[in-house]
Amino acid sequence: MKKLVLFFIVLTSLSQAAPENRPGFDFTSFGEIAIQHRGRVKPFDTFASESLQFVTGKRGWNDKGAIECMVGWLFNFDREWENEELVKIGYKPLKKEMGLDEEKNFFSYSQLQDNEGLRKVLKDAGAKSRNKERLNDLEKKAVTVQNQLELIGDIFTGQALTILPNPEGLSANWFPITSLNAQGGLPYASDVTERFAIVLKRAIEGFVNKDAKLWNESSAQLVTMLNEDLAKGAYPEKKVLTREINYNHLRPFRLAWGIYVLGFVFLMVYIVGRKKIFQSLGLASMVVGLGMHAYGFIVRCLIAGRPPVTNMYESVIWVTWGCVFFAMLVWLAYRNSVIPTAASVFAFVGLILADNLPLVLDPSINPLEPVLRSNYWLTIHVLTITLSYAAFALSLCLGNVVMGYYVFRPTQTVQIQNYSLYMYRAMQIGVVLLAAGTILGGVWADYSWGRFWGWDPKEVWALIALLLYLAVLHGRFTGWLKGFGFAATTVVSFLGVLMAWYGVNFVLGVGLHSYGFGSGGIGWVMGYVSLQVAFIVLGYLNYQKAKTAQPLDNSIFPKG
Amino acid sequence: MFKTPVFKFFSSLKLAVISILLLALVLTVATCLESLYGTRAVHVLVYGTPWFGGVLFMLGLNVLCAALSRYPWKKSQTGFVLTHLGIIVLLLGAFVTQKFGVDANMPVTEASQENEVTLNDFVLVAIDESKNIKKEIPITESYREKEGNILSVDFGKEMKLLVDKFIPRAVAEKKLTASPIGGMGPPALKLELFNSRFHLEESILAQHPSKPSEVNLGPALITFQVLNSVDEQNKFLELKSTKPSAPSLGFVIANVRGKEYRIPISEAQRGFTAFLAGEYEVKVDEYLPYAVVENNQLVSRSNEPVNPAIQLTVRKRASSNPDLEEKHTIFANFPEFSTLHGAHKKKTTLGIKFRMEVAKTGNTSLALVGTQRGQLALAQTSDGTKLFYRTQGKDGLVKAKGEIKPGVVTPTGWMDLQFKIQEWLPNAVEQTIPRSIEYISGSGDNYLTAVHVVEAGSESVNSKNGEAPGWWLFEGQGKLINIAGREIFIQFTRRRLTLPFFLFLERFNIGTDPGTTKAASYRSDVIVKDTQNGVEKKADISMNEPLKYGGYTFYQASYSMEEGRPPVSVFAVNFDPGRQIKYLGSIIMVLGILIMFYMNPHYLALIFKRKGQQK
Repeated sequence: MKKLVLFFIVLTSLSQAAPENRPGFDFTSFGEIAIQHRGRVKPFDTFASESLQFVTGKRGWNDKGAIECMVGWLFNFDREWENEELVKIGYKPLKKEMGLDEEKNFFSYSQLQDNEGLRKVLKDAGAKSRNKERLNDLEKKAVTVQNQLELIGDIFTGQALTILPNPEGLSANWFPITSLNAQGGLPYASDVTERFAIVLKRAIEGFVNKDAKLWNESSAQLVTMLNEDLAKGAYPEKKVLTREINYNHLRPFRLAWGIYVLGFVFLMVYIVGRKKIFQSLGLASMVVGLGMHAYGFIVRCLIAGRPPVTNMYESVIWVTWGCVFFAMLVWLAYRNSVIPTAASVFAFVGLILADNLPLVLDPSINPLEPVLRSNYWLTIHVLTITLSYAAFALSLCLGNVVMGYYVFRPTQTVQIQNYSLYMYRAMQIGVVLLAAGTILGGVWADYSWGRFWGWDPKEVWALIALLLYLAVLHGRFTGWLKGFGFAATTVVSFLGVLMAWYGVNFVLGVGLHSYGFGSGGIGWVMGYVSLQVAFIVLGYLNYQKAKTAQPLDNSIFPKG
Repeated sequence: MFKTPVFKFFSSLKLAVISILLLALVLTVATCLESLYGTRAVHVLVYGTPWFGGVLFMLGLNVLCAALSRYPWKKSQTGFVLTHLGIIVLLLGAFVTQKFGVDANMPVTEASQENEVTLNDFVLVAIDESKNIKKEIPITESYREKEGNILSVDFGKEMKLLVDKFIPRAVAEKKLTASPIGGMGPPALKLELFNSRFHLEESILAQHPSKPSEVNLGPALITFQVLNSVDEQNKFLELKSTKPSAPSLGFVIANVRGKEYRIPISEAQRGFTAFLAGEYEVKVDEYLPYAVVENNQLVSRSNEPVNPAIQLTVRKRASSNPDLEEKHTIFANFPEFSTLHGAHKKKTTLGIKFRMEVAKTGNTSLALVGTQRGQLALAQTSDGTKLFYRTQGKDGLVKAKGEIKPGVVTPTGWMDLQFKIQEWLPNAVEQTIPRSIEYISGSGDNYLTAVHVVEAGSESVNSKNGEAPGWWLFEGQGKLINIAGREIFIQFTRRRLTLPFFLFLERFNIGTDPGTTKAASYRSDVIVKDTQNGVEKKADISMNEPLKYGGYTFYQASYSMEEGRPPVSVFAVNFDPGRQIKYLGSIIMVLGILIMFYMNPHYLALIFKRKGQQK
């Protein structure tokens, strides 16, 4: 296990090769400097990779790691970064509006500054947000570009570098390094401030003159001084900072999807070739993946100091975990390898999306909205509801296995009935959790908003999803739904979950659950929905064809 | 009874599937409507309607009949019965809440007390003190503009009031109409100014008896005044030229080391303007005539100069160091509020204090940024019989003058501009009229609502100048009206409820996330004052930490902070007799599902049997 993890660490760190133009430079100690950013004290390492990712969409830049880039931006010594084409703008209509080359994706800071087109769009956007109107895509992207430019500007000037600790504690306001220029105002003894400025200057010299020894020494000294002399102990523990840095570099969710893919391959080999060893390997991979997934989740909880289920990224992480978890539970009951195989597809697709769409699914850890803070019921309610999504996702995966049989092997009724049963079990788990979660949501709403149920869109869509599954369950007893219909309607009902989970926040964009609102990804979701519908139609056609050729047993579950 | 066809119909499983899907469909449509028209609208259209109650009742009846039809119940049906019972109890609880519960708002201003709560529904209050009649009649809300007989209030035999218009989303617009009493009210003009490229219209009211009123209209400054004597009339007409006038918004006054420097705002709006012998320069980034804080942002509510504020950038000249640049917000009415943006972050300051002096003339709302302009001066004789005009170009020289009549197109003598007096009211009154606006998707529900009240029988008569009689009332507004010698007070408001105790707001606090201005927590320190029971106790109400007292629960819902006013904390007040029933129903239902799915003996047997087979 350890070796496997090690292997993956080596694999991922290969992409962040040592900086060639600064041999011998050690950026780890600078990464351990704490910075107050977006309402949270975090390691500089996190700030660097979040900022670089926000501006460039990448985790490193031309052989340079994120920290080296940030230090380079910060001191902007030879103004090379101003003209470096590093601001990512992908949205073509905006590039057109700004008069940029639409084929290019990266632009330099100096090139984008004082752009008339951008200013025009931003002006409209400003007027709209003042009227509380919703912004269109062009305006949203323009605001993003503006934020990118502001961030670069703030790093260039040092304004964004709020690394000078406030001795009053982590929740008091920290100071940017630019305050060192001011006479007084900082809550440190003047000789301390002076000494710190000297060390900082030496670090800059080391960086600028590519003097590795000087840089390494002084940056290490900076960390000690910040902690001991400036903060006087009101500084995050080293343990806490390194935990977050390790989390950043290990990237457990990326590892998890890698392992799930591996498990999927092993299990597919087993299903096709029936070699026992591949089954064991596949199942072991699933368990290891689940463990790595859970580990990442727990570390994220520790870093954020709360259960991470309050934005889309975190819920994708949690739901994919739940799906594999339930798959293993159902596997325990029925010992059929197809169950984890199907679930692994959902898990790795979800995790790959979360890993690669930072603009839609924002992975950064931010403070919560006031209404979500210190709330016991919130945690339980959201975890329960999203866990029901996980169970429904499993039923969706298994439903698609059934659909696959209808498409490719409509005559294999025994398999169809078996998988329908597994699908039904997953759906049962989902119905209980969703009913309970919706009610717990009522309890939470009652507790914090003063009413049990208020027809808020998020509440309503959770109810609609529940009603859809209830209609399927009751439809089974009316005799309207037989084998094919039961599987098809179960799969279709997941669209209700998708709407409650994603659609309310990203499509409707109204209501009290607005803290999770975002945009983007509609193309992906619509693409999935149309593929899914096409698959069901194909299944129906092939099933009808097979039925006319020979009579088929269309009962839902296996006999007995 | 269980065998009757009606019962069979209501207990049928097929009906269950249909009504479940029907409800799902209705809810889907409702959420889409909410996205388009807002939360209030969807409550008026769907959730609050009797037919929606009917759909839920149908479902409840269906569930009840389905459960009863299987009576006598077998042991294996425990889960099934419990689940369905739970749903019925839940719906019952919802009904009790709907019928007997109170869901209200209570804004309390800091350092004051309140015992009235505001409900959601609108009412028209009409009071005739002399006859001791007080009426409070509910007004049915509509999601869009509505006309016709919405509500009538009988006021004894001889009189009746009608609500004939309802505007759910309105903006207040000022409108000038002829004064109903001759000789009363200031003179008013409605004029248009145009050339081949543009066309502008504006109204102007000569409010002050001796000083001209000013309106900036595109490239021209329009003034309107009353000529109180022949002498003034001659002076008006004989003027040859004045100094070129720049529209003035007022001055930014910078205090550097005890010395004051005056910079015209309109000049600094055009770009950086130097002061102190060119050592510093200042630029006005934004001029906000009516500055209010919304969502932690300073915005202008309208163009009325109610609370003028400017946001400016000041920097040390010829310095490439961007650190020596500061942004300030300055309020004309509250010089002590002058802020330095990001003062918590930046410790470097230029040490300049700013204040703002607003130009005292007329309406500055349409001020054209910067440029000097021509002037069109209009004047009326004090007896209201004659109207004169005089135009001056950008250079200040008089181009044309004379007497003028409404409807005549007259050239101004510069920029090919012409003007026409559309309407001249020697005596006018200014009225505030609502204009209906569309719902802006995603904009929340903070719109102004207005109704129009009219005396029954008078709605068709007396509309000579296109003006329907009656009174417009905005939400919360009251008016004393005079009908047939009776003085009646009417008010359009939301229904209010008086609690048996007071809530005193000591302090309202907002906490922010470290290093940001993002709100992280809200807390109200309150004192409950219950004189009836001799209770006076302190309490804190914060997000997720409500106060429970006397059967009511107070939640921190929102707040409002406007510059220059004490903060107002808004509580959601809730009284819910159905709460316990709903909780009971929930527990029964979840228990039922659990038993049905997992504790079913058949199911357990199935699992063990399967496991056995596999092994």
